[in-house]
Amino acid sequence: MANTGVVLLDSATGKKIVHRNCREQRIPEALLEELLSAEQDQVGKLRKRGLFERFDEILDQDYNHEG
Amino acid sequence: MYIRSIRLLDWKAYTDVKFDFPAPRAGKNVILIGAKNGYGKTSLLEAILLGLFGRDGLPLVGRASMGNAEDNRLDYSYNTFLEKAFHAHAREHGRSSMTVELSFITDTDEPISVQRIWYFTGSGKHRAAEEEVRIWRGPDDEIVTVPPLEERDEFYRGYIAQHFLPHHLAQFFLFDGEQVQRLARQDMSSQVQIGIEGILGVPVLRELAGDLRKYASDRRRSAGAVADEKINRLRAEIVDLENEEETCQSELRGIEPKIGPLRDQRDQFVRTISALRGGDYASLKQLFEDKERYQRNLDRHIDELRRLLSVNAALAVAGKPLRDRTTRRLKAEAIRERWEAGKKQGEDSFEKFINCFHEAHPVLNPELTSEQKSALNERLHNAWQNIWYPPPNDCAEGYRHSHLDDATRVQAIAKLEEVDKLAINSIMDIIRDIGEKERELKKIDARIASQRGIDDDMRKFGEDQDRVVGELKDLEHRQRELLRRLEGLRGQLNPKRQELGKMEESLNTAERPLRRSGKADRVADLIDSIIAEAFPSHIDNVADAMTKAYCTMAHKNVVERIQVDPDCKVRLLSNSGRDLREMDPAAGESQIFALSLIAAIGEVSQRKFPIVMDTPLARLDSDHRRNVLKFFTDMDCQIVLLSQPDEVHGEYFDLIQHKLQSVVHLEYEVISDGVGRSILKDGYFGTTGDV
Repeated sequence: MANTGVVLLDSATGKKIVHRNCREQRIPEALLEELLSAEQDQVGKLRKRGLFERFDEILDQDYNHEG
Repeated sequence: MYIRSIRLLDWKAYTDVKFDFPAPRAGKNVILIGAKNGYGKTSLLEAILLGLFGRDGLPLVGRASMGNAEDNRLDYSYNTFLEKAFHAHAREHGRSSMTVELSFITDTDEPISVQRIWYFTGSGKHRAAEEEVRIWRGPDDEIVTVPPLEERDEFYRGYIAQHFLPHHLAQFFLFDGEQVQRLARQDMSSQVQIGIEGILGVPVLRELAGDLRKYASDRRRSAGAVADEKINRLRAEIVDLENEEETCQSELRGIEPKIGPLRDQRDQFVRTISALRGGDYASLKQLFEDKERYQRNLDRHIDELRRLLSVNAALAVAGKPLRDRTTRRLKAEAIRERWEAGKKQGEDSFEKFINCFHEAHPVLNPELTSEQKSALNERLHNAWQNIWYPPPNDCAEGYRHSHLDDATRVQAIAKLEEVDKLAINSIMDIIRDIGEKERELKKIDARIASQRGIDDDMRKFGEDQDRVVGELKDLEHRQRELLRRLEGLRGQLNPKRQELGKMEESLNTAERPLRRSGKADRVADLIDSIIAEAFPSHIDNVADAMTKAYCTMAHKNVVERIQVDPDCKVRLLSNSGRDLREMDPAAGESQIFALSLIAAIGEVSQRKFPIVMDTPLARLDSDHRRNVLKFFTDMDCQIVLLSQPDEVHGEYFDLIQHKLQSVVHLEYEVISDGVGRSILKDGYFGTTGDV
């Protein structure tokens, strides 16, 4: 997982925890990364315009066949 | 990131002052600004907080006396604070605005500036709706524009949180002595929790998990899935009809090969009987052919009568007025469908239109305020929608036949119009034709009987012939029955197959949101697991960093280590494991604890945001003061230290002198009765500005 700007995930320990949990729950790390990026774009905003539509796009992608 | 400059116009005691800070470099990262009480140190810190965060920054301002941060109270306090902050001299001289401009350089050496302007009425009342924010970025100071349809304040709030600092973390980077004391209080564990969780990024992860769950619930609700039971029932009906179709076809396949030989046999009988009677073969054969033709015509008329009665009779019996009303209604619904399609296409184009509108020339001067822009957008949207109103006169007000798509609706209208054309006379004509054909058949039978004669041989042939003809007739009758049945079955199958197709398409459409919502729920659960596992180990990092900071700054060696619980309660543990915070520590020691927390959060976050400290040493004894000064100025970020004359002086000044990049102090001059202004001067109480 690339650095996300979230200390909890970017530290060496955090990366290991993310990797193992994603593997165990069969969720691609890239999917988590993309969703987090969409949420980070809304940080500080009271109304999160377009967030659900962005989730639609991200959740429709097939991350199992990428990178 | 570091602060490059701060410019204040009519802000508190500053009428027009610009602070310029050089870029920090290794071992030289401290800006020292000295001032006596009331000369503008805290005003500078407040300018940074409110300049960056606006109304959200007010709870961080110690002098704002917020009580709690309820919205109305916050608005009142914000307005009151700003009205007091607006320089009295400016108002007296007809100026109506107050400005804070903060320029930063990012970690990638990119300039980024925020300017916030507050406007006031002639009587000094804050014009809250007119508050302006401008952000410039890049070497050419390109202005950051608000994307179309995005609410201006909302956009800037998000932009500042993402590119500078979320306002709830500001207290750990921009603080004064009072804020340090507040953090030191044991009942401030929620603030500590906000700081630790915020710096680790837990809030954004929790927000994401929460939003994914809300999203999943929303998409499930809107899926409108077709019930499996309904689709299965339809599939079963189709299978039954297809089985019956297959049975009919199979029987037909058995009948058709028998019909040809029977016809041959019948013809043979005709020839034999004609030969025996020495009669006219051709005429008897002609009679049988005539009989068969009449029979076929008769059967066709009967079939036609049945079809008319089964398919159209119900519609015919319903009466023309009802059929006309139904036809008009269907046509009106077709018009509504076309109108709605046009309207939707228009709505889809609105966003493009509004983008083009705002980008089009000439540029409006002066630029519209966010409220004006928002009102204009709303008005344009309403006008855009009004293009489609009122709907056409002959448009239905809704759908009563929503199950019909466009093609099926056209078929239904055609069927109703076909029934209109079918006068009752047509049915009477067919019945009359049937009667005529039956009479003709009887005549032909009579002529055949007379042709056959009545002798025994002829009777024998006649009986055999009748058997063959009867058998042929039965088979042909059955063949027609089966063909009719097949036609009927196909008539039922086709619409059911179409309906099934639509249902399956609808199911597919519903499956996608259901798939998405399932995935979203799984990711939300994953995030919960990651937080639950990763948070405790990272809290340990915060505790280690706090222990290191505390042990460096405190002069007593009674604290063995600092422990942070998963609920962010912080304990100072002695080597016997006793929590020293419960023993009513001295005020100075509590301050050291709070400063340790601030330092630890800065270190663990790895965020290179500048630290602005307003008189943080005032309550500390000499050892603590020395240790704190050394610890913070050793940090790998820009430190802006706002100090009283007797706070950083003598040995303390000497201690950090080699790290100083810029040293200035503030003086105050009286302009008129009771009104003065702060002036920036080089040097620091008896020193020069050279460092």
